[in-house]
Amino acid sequence: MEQTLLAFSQATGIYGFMNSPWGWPVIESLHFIGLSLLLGTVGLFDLRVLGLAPVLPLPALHRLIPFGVGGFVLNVLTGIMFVTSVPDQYLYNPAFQSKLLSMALAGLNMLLFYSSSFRAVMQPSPSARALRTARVFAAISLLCWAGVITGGRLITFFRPPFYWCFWCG
Amino acid sequence: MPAFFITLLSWIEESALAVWVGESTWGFPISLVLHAFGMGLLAGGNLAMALRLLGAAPAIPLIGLLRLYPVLWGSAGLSLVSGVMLLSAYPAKALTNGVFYFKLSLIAIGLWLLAKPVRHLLQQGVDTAVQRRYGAAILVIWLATITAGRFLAYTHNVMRVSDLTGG
Repeated sequence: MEQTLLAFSQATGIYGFMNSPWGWPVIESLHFIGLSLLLGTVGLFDLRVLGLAPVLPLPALHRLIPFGVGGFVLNVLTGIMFVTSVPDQYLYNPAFQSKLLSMALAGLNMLLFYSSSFRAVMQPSPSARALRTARVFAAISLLCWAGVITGGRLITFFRPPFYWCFWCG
Repeated sequence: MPAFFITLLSWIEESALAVWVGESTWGFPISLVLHAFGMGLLAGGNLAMALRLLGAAPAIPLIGLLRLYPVLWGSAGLSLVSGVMLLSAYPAKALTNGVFYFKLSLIAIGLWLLAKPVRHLLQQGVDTAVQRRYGAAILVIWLATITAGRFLAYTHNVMRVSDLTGG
């Protein structure tokens, strides 16, 4: 796995770029910009569902979500550049593993939201029941993304992670 | 390096806060995580506002965006507190780096825009050309702030006060 990722990074030129003087910080900056776009649109939508600024219509606010998706795509691409360039610092790192798990949960939660209460909550005056369900999805979404950010931020701090990972064995 | 500056840096580096952030197990990572939350909400909220002013999601009522201000000020407060925690552990690292002052200037301009002209714009409504100008300014300022913040980790000349004094 490690070798495959590293070979990919080297074959595509990612490795060379990331090891150039400003490669890593430039890609990190883009990764943090993607994070902010995601939190500023999806996070904002979640906060609105939870009761912040009811004057902002949910369908109107939802028009910003594609920018958050753009931020997420940017972060997947930049994330691949980090992971494939130094795979051993990520694959065995519990902070990174937790980050991936939180991301999977956020994705699952999103699928469930869009396939259940999304339509009802986007109506001009949604029912109390639809709003209640949507609030649970919004709260889980915020918690998951907070988990993603926390895991992501701890990756570099605990590099290498072996001494504190109690389930890495 | 002026003597009073070294004295100031040493005082910060030896403060109780700095010792806790720098030497406890969780002081530094907690500060990092809180700073990321603060950044994500403050810069992210500003980016959302910039997108609206640039013409995206036109159904969002401008005046309604004023209701986001408490979140933006709250995340600015969180960023400030966590930023002071990070700064306290390595004052020489940041305060001898020009990029740090550049970042602080950008934040000052960004918060001033929010507090004065953008607030006025959201309250009064102005023509779309002016909206777009402010949207572009907000976008550039917060993208640059994030970038400058990230580059702080790569542009410093020293880590500790002892690196300056040779001690």
